[in-house]
Amino acid sequence: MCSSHATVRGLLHEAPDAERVVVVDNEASPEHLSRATTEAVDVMLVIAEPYFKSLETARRYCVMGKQLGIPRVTVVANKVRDENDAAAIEGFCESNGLDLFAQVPFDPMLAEAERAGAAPIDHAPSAPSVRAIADLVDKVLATEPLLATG
Amino acid sequence: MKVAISGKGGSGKTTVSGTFARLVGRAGHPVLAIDADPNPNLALTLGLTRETFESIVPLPHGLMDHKRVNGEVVVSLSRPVEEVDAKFGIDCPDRVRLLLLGSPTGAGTG
Ligand SMILES: Nc1ncnc2c1ncn2[C@@H]1O[C@H](COP(=O)(O)OP(=O)(O)OP(=O)(O)O)[C@@H](O)[C@H]1O
Ligand SMILES: [Mg+2]
Repeated sequence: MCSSHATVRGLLHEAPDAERVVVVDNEASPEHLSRATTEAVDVMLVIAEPYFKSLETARRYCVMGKQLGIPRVTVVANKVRDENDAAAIEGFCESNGLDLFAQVPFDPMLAEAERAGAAPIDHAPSAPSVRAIADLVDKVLATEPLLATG
Repeated sequence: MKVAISGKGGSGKTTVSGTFARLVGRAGHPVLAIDADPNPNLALTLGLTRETFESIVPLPHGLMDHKRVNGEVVVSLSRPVEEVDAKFGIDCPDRVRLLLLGSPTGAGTG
């Protein structure tokens, strides 16, 4: 049992600066999705790849997130290669009542950035994946009242 | 605002988290990025060098208060987050500050 799960709670509760945006990169295990670590979260972005197991996992995370009372739980599709991928994700979200917030294309630049030891945004700031994440940021900033929570 | 990023292993959580954090910073907001993975690697996606990343000191145990509330162990920081951030946060580009809950060397912190 690692205490890092619980540590997040402290951090989230005790980050009172409303102007600041806190971004938590979670581990894959659903263990982190206990009340202890998500209580103070405003938005949960569930990353899903366009294949069934990933989507099914995303669906479970969405259910858990909503049960935990997170005000906004949305899916972000990632590694979308073509229209078939997009359609598969859209169909899955629609039939499961999930809010699909953004789609990030499959981007070979990310492997290059990794090889170069650089952040994607520094390696290729106008690459398709970075642009899609920029749209996601705009959307989150536009829809979330930044000053609403402490 | 607090944003949590979740998903299946390898789905792209860290890629999205790091790029998201940098872009929010670029939009003019101070950002606190928290790497909650026991095997942290968000630093590289945020634009830190491997050297800087490996020199990051994990949060010490003494910073955490353990309490039992309704049978659930609740851990909170024993110091204000501003102080923890000031002491252990790492400066990244675009006004992003990074806090690591796990250890970059893989040594267990708890
Ligand atoms: N849109 C994309 N296009 C192509 N490759 C991608 C994309 N998003 C992520 N990847 C690649 O997929 C791999 C896993 O990504 P990442 O580390 O962000 O996932 P993760 O969910 O954080 O993984 P973990 O569960 O291990 O923490 C990396 O090699 C990354 O470069
Ligand atoms: Mg990761």
